[in-house]
Amino acid sequence: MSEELVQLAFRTSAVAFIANIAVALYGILSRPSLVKKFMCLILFTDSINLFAIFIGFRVLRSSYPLPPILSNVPRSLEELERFASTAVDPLPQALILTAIVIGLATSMFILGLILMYHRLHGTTDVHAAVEAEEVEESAE
Amino acid sequence: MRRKDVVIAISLSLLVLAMSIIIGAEQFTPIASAVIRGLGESYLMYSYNPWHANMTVFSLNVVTAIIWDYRGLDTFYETCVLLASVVALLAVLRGYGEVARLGAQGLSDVVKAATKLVIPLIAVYSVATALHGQLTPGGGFQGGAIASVAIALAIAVYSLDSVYRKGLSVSRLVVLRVLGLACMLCIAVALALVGALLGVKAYVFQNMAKEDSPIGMPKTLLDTPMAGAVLLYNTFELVIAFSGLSTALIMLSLREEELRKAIEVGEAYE
Repeated sequence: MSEELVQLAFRTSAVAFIANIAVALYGILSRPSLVKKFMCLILFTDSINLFAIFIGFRVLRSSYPLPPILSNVPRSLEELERFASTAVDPLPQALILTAIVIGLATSMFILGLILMYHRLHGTTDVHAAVEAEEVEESAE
Repeated sequence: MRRKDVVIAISLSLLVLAMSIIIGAEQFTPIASAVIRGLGESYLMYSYNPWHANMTVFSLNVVTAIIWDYRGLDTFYETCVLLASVVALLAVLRGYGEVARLGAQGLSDVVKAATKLVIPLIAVYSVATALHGQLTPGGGFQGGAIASVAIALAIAVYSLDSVYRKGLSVSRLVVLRVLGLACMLCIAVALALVGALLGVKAYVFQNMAKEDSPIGMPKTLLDTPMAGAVLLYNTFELVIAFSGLSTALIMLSLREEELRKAIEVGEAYE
């Protein structure tokens, strides 16, 4: 595959990630349902995580890049240097793994909050719940 | 309300357009290049490097080496965040009570038999993923996430009652998680304590021998690289991730009868 084609594919994917982020932001900002806001939040974090892993990728002229895992115990320093010159960047992957765990932890908590909201108000629609409260207050 | 949505949509599409122009512009550097950053390259070089014994972890998986050795403290705090989020979830749903025998029968026998076959496979796969974290892709958290799928399946197919009957109540899982975190902390300070007893310099979260500290964790276990504390951290991370995610799954699938008191508490606060 030619160099230009690979770069074009990379740019297209980067634009797709940003479009994904924009769609998710739209959902967070303008959907009234908390469940849909939560789904968009997950889409948002996943797009950003993918984008960050994507930054660590590398394009080699002769071969495909390797995952950052040695397939067997290296026997010489030259073998290790060959590995380091063909493997992708491991640092974004490690950082994103941490980000995924923390994202999961917070989303568990958010999901619990949404469930309690639904049990107390009977709906996950933010506007409907606020309107119902206003009606209740005016009745009092 | 409609106008606000339109404004948001237009501004977000403008954002996408602007970013696309920046990414598509030819004069900027290509997104993926042949050379990676120096920091990433040094991790690749030193992750399993017997020729630089003071810098290495003896872990074949470079990502695991970064997570549990080079950035070990970071991952420990991340595990604490997982613990804290479950504690927060327990606080939100405070006042609930576990009720057994609500008469839920679960799905059909075909699904139940298939699940009975699949759950042991999930368990084996999750343990293998966690214990081979230093050799192949995977690690403790991934293993724990896979294991909690078994709990999700059991709740969906057999009902929550069967999970209680197997002894996996929320309080036991919380105890399991705290024990896992305590074991992790013990491993983190183990070498520092040994160093203090022997009178040599050693650090908290130290794994292999360093330039000014001669003691280190074992490199191999039965001829297989175990990367010192990485294997132990992965094992306890499996326990913590499994119990944390299963607690969350159980808490999020509680029935109305169990939550009646929690809702009363919530209404009393309003």
